This record gives sequence, C-alpha cells and structure tokens, in this order.
Amino acid sequence: MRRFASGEARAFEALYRRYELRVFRYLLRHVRNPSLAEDLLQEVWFAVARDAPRYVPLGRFSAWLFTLAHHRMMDAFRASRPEVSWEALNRDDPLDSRPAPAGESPDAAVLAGEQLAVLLSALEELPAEQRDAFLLQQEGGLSVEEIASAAGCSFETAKSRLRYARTKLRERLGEIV
Amino acid sequence: MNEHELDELYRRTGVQDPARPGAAARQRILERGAQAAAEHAARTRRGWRSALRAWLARSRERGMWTVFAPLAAAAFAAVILVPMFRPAPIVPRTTTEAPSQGLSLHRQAPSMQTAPAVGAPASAPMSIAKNLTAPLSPPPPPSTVTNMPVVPVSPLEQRLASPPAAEGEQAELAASSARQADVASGAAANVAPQAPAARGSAKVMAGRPAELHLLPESEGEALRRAAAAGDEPQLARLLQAGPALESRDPHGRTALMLAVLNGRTEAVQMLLAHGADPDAGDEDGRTPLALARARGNAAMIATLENAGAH
Repeated sequence: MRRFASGEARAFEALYRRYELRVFRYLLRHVRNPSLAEDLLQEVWFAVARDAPRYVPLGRFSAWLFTLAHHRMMDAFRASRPEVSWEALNRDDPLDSRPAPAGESPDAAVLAGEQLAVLLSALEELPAEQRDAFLLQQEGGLSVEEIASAAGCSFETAKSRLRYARTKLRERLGEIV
Repeated sequence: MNEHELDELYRRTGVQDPARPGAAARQRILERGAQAAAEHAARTRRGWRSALRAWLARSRERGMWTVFAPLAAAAFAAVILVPMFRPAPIVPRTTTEAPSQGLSLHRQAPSMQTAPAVGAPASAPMSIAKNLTAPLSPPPPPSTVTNMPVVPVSPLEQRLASPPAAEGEQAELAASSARQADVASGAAANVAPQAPAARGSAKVMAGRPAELHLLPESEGEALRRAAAAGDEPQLARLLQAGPALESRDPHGRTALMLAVLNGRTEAVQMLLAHGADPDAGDEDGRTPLALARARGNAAMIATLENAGAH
C-alpha cells in the first residue's frame, strides 16, 4: 500500500489481484446481485485508490479493506431500501423457522452435488449481521476484534454474532458433510 | 460438523463458486488504480518542488540570512559537533609496545600526555575535539607512554583495538575467540565501555564465540532468525519490542513464512497472535498456508486456517 501511495501502479494491481475474489464474494453474498456486487467492488477499489495517501497502517490491510467494503455495502443497502432498516433484517425468527423448500433440502443438494447452493442458501437464511460477521471472518480473515471494529459494535457483540452464525451453519450444513 | 470442518467446507465451496467480477469491471478498477498511482507520484514530486520553491520565496522576502543560517548551522554541526561524538581511536595500552603510528597519536598534543588513557575517550568529547584540531606533532617518546596506567589487556581486546585485520587474520581471530570461549563475554564487556567503535560494529555472542557479526542486525532480521529457529523466548522479547512483523528477507519471506518453512508451530502461533498477516506471500506468490500444505504439516495447516489464512 505504501508503494502504491508513492506512485507505483503495479503495487495496486498486485493488491487488487490478491483480494479481488474475496471482496467480491463478500459483497455478492450480501447483496445477492452480481451486477450490484460489481458496482460495489468498483466503489471499494476506487476508494482504496483515492485514499491510499491517507492510509495509516495501524492494523492489517485486509481489515482496512473489508471495513471499507462493509461500509460501502451498508451505504448501498440503505440507499436502495430506505424503508427497511439493516437491523430489521436481523430478526432471525421468520427465516429460521421457515421450513426449507423441498428442492433446497440438504439431501437433495447432496444428491445433486450442489454443496455450494446449500451453503449459499444457509448463508442467506442467517440474519444480516450474523452473516456479515461470518463473511468478514471467512473472506477477510478478520479476527473478532477486527470484525467488531469494522461493524462498529462491541467485541462481545461481534463474538456473539459470529458464534450464532457458525452454530446455525454447522447445524444446517452438518447433514451434507 | 465441527468448527474446522465448517471452515474447510466454506473454503472448498468458495473455490468452486464460479462467481467472478466481469472483465470490464476489473479493467475499470485497474485503470483507476494506474491513474491514481500517477496522481500520487505527481503529488509526491510536486510536494518536494513546491516546498523548495516556497522556501526560496520566503528567503527572498525575508532576506538571504534565512538561506545561509541553515547552511551555517549544518556546517557548524559537521565541523564541530560530529567530531565530538565520533568514537575515540583505540590504542593498545601496553608498556612494552612502541606507541602506535596511527593518526590519533600523531595528533596527540603534549598536553594530552597527562590524560588518563588514549583509549578512554568518551568522557571528554571536547578534549577530543581539541585534540583533532591541534597541530600535528611527532609521536611522543616511549617514556611518556610508560607513564600511563597499566591495564591488563586480553588478546581479543588487542585484536579489536588493532587496525582492521586481513581476511586471514580474521579467521585467526575467530579461532582465537573460540579458544577463549569462557572469556569471550567478559572480554566483550571489558572492551565495550572503553571502545565504543568495537561496541557498535562487532558483537561477540556468548555461546557462539567463533562467529563474529560485523554488522548490526536489524530488528526484522532478528525476528526472522528467531522465528526460523523456533527460539520462542527470543521471539517473545522481539515481539514485545514491536518490530515490523511484515519485514521481509531478500526473497520476500516474512518471519511467519520462515517459521512455517521450518515447522515451528509455536513460533507461528506467537506471530499470528501478535497480528502477523497469515496471507502475506513471498515474491513468488506462495502463501504460508500453501507452504504448510506442501509440507503436509497438519498442525501447521490447522493453525493457519484458524487464523484465517487462505
């Protein structure tokens, strides 16, 4: 990042190629729309390019990058659906109590060899904040402290979201392993 | 399904996921990055030029003394202050040897004959400055040297005090220091307060007397060395001192990579706990996790994956 801030274009390219898919998957699994995820990906990297001279390496670059991605995703969500709050999506009762459609059941997915589909389905069923914590951990490699910092919540809250997310995913995905 | 299996499943399915950003988006991002890099480079150059121009403009407005005052201060520092803090020359303090023909003794003024010892230097920096500015005089006769206090000097100390040895002599010096393994640390301690030059440029390591490190080791080098050797106590000390965790060796490898390469699981855990980037790859793009997998080290793989390595 320092090399890029001093004017080295190849450093930016190297950074982008290293994190491209991880950031894209993080955004896509939130917004579920490839076109919107691409737009957000561009916004994130445009922000990286613009803010490089002001970047202060207080922590890991990946934590800074995924914090940017989190904020861009939240901005996009609020802009596109102002009538629905982010917090409203965190009620886990409606989705969690809903029976899975027959075509999406774990058994059918295993038979069809569609582990990915089952995983994505399980992720979609998570409350948004729990999904966010899980994706920040998996795609960004963020620690609980870094997740708390990125999401703007306390350490305990981030830890709790992560634990709930992982428990639910293990229960849902346990059947296909 | 346990925690590890969940992580593994996510990683595996993530690789299978065909979702990719389009080529057009990638192109736009890279173009913007190149454009921003050019702007950053121009801003950096402009920064220097504009600072210089502003300084010259201020100098013209306020008078030329604003130009010459900093230059005069720099010249003062170079001529007066730097010699004051320059390490004193080291001269063997023996009563039997003739005085050294080195520059330091040639410059020794008669008034210095009553000074404690030529090799005891840092106590009077001003006297050294005076000494360097004194006119050249012939070396004092041996009788003046015999008036100096006699201090027992070890062979190692004499070697360090003498002018730089040839390569063959360095090997002999290493062998000599090996023979004096029990004396080495004491000799180093004896030399250090009296010979700052030796203290700064050579380290005699206790327990490894035959190895002389003639250049100071950076914190990054020390960290990588401790990580590669699995020296946890040393690693803990260095991590507390807060060196750059991501410093790299000439091959672009971090301390974490070296610890992984050498199978030092505990060192890897310590580095990760202190915030080492688990995905920092070397110049060939190999990540610590890829190396651990190549070596088939299951414990290492689990440690890295738990830390979020990809």
